[in-house]
Amino acid sequence: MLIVKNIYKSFGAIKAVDGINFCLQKGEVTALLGPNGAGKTTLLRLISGYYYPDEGDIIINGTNIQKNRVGALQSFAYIPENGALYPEMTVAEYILYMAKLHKLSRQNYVDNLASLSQELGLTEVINQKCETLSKGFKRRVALAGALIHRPDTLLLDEPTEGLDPNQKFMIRDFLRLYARHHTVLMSTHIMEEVEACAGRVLLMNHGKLICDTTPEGLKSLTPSNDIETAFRSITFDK
Amino acid sequence: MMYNLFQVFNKEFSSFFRSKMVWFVFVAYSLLSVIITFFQSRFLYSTSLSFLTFFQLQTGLLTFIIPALTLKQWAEERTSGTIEMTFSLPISYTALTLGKFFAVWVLSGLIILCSVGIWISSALIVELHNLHIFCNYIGLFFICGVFCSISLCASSFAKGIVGAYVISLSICLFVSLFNLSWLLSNSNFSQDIILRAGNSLSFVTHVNNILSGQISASSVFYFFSITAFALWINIITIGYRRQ
Repeated sequence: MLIVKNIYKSFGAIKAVDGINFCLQKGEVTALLGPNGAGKTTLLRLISGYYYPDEGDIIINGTNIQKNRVGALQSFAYIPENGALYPEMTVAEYILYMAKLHKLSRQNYVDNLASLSQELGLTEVINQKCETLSKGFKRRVALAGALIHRPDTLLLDEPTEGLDPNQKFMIRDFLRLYARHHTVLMSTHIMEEVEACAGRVLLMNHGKLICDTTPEGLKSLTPSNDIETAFRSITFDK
Repeated sequence: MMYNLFQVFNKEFSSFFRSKMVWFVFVAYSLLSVIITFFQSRFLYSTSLSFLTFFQLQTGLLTFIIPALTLKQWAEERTSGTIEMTFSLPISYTALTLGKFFAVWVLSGLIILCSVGIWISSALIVELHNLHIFCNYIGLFFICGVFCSISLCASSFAKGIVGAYVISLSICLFVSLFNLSWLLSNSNFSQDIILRAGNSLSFVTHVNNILSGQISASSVFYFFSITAFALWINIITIGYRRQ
């Protein structure tokens, strides 16, 4: 479970996150939607512990991240937008490092690695250096590294950005299945992604949460019953 | 925390050897050590075989090399974008900083071992105070620790790799040349207590003490204090920047 309670974050005069509240449970992918500059990445960085909020609390699986950062991040994983990996490591070394930091037992590591390699198609690149991988493979390796310890909460910042349709389909399908028993929050501005795998939508603009609904609920806000039209009508600055 | 510290140390230390650059540093250091020993310090022409000048020149050489080793630690992570992911891992800032510090400190220890060949080959020709020289190497390792911690700290608040190197190098040069006792003795301060205080705070004084073979508790405490202070500032910096 992820609870975000009255979060504020400013950078000088700019209010990047302005009083956001929500609670996420297991069972569905939640899409964090918003135009560029809405504060989506800042919000994800606050939840992941990269930034500290000016006010408010972030509680991950019952642990307040500001009071016990290491404890809160134990069953948590975050894949940032750039999806950067440690370039000098091989794929196997990277995933093993992630497993060790999350104190995964050897048996669980071996079992999870075998299933993730198969599900994400990483068998052929397992001994390749991360810096030599294509963008699509880097995303999949980042995902494998994040999921090796089966975190209860998973955050992704634009997970399918720049990928080809086959890779997008694979990742969306994977996330939909993973979210059945875990909490998944995904930042995106690809509308088809929202329709393909999200069960809930949090719409942000100018640092505020302006809409918390389902994709169908968002569509129903406009006569055309189209999610992109609804997004533009709500977020367009006249 | 110790477990995570070890994992970070293991990852950082082995990453040095995955890069070809580290081997270049080993070779370059070995060649420079030979050049500065045999040509600059006129080692073979001295009437008594003293390694004091050798170790003093080593200190100068390490002032330039160690800031380059620590670039990978924070500045390169920031440039490559892996820093965002690193801070979302369940590792405390203390374990992260200490893991990186120990990795670069142990690497610098291995680098200074490249100059042991000069000691061994000299010992085969003439009789040397080997225990004295062994203590000098221990002292040099402590000095490496100071430079590593200062460079790591500088790398944590610099924005780019070049800035990190320039700041690290500047601070290491300032520290290595810092001789408060010389400043006070050439000023109007004549009180003995002030001169003694200045002496105990001067980096040059402690370096000379330790390189003359005396590993005194005060010098070890001095180097440990600077190292611990720089690491503490490093931990505060990376935590403060998150706010």
